[in-house]
Amino acid sequence: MDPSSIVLETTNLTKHYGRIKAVRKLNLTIKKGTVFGILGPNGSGKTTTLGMIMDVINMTSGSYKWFGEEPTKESRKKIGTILETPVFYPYLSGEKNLQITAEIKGAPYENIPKVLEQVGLLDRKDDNFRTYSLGMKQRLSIAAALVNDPIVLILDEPTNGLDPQGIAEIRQLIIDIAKSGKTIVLASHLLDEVQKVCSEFGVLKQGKLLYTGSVEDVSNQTIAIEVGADHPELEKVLKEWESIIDVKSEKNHFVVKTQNGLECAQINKYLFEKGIVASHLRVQKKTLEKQFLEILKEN
Amino acid sequence: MLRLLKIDLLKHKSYKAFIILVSMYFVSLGIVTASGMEVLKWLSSLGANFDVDIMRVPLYHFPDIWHNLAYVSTFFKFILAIVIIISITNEYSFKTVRQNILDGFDRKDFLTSKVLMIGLLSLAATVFLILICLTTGLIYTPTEDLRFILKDTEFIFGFFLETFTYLLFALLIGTLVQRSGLAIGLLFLYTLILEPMLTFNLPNELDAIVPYFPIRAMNEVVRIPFLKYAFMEIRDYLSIESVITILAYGALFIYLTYKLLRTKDLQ
Repeated sequence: MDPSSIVLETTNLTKHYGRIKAVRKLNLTIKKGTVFGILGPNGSGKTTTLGMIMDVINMTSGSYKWFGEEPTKESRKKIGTILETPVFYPYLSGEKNLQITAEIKGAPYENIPKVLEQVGLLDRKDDNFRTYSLGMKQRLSIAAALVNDPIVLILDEPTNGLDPQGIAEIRQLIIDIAKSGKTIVLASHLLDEVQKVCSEFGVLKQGKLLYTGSVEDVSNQTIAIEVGADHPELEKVLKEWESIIDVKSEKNHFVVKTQNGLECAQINKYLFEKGIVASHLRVQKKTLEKQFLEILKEN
Repeated sequence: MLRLLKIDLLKHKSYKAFIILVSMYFVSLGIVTASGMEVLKWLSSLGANFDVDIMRVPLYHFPDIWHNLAYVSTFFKFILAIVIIISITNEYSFKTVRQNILDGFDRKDFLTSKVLMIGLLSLAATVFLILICLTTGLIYTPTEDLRFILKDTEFIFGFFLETFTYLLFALLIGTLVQRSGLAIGLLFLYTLILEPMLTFNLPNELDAIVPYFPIRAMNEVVRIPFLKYAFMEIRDYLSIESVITILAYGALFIYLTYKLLRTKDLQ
């Protein structure tokens, strides 16, 4: 792999809180331009991991590199980070809060109206942060993360506590930002969130990284085909075919498990030859949720 | 450096509690130091008996005024200490200290910005005090004594050192306990009760170390001046030893605050 394409690399990253092992020997590589989802149940070490690679939590052992270099405050200036809840000075306006972020990151003040516009807060910039709704607070934190035109965004449970509309807004924002070529690291326990916005994902459980892979690979796997027809012999005919390994009856159709990558078209053809016209044919793709539960079960 | 100070100023300049407390400090310091002579006149007009003719005691004459007002002014440092404690504990309760680090501060930047703010407040207090001393001194000093106008100004430097170091102490306590009420309580408990009790109850053999306790060391820089008017011997200069001790404490407070910032996780 081209080393310049690696944004983050951790080596045996470990955190112990007394006897509790929050993160155990985590080895993670994140490539440029990916939207990487860190999945895991609550308490699996997601936030602790992100805290360590951003130097707010001291690691017990291990190491990490940002952009192929030893991490410094300069690397953090190129990263926009939101850990858990939006954090600002409540008595300052949205704009003044962003001025502080811009000063710390060394970003020009001209960026402030741009990012406020991007998250739709320009008309509320003079109001105190404490008067914002949760959705607005979350959007302001995204604006703050974007203020220095970062290479990487780290988002920890960005839709936590938001209403459905707020969730949709934030997701769209993330998708838009990802399209602009930024690398995004997204920690979440919401699986459909990761499936919707991420290109790659890793699964954490009790501080251990169990799995990493591409979201596309998971969602392209056909796990079953639903077949329905108004014909009494349907079940018998399906079971006769050696390429079909399992037939389960459901409400209005049968769920068929196949081998040799059998596709809808072939099933349709086979049934037609047997004098049956299918009225329902649908591919069941694997969801990240199923994959996730399988991974957790295996371990 | 200036950028770090600017950032801490941005955090505070629209913060009401900060503005109110700092104004309170300057107003009360101003009133008490500037009006001393008038209050004494008023008291004697009411028939108060001072044993001596109060008008003939050169409280507000150069050079005595520098020492006298520097000493009285050190008592107001408590108000600024509360300001500093609120400032640092807010950073913990809002979690903004963590966000500052996430955004690209390192611990040294964060600490430096706070220390610079402490320096600025102490400096502003010092300049304010100099102005009061000059104004009231020029009003009350008899013409023939005006040649002493710049004598003994070293006590103003002593005032600066004591205020600055005490605020660093407040910063340390705030960083240690992270909650404002608790920190303010602990600061006053230690300053007014714990250390005085401890030093008072120390066995006689250990009396030599009493001046090196932190609060006592701070008070040693500008000692009480008024005893000289009762013809008692006082130290009418800044002792090098007390200055070195207080500087050492300042450095220690900064170092310990840094250690706390560095070793505690910012959850």
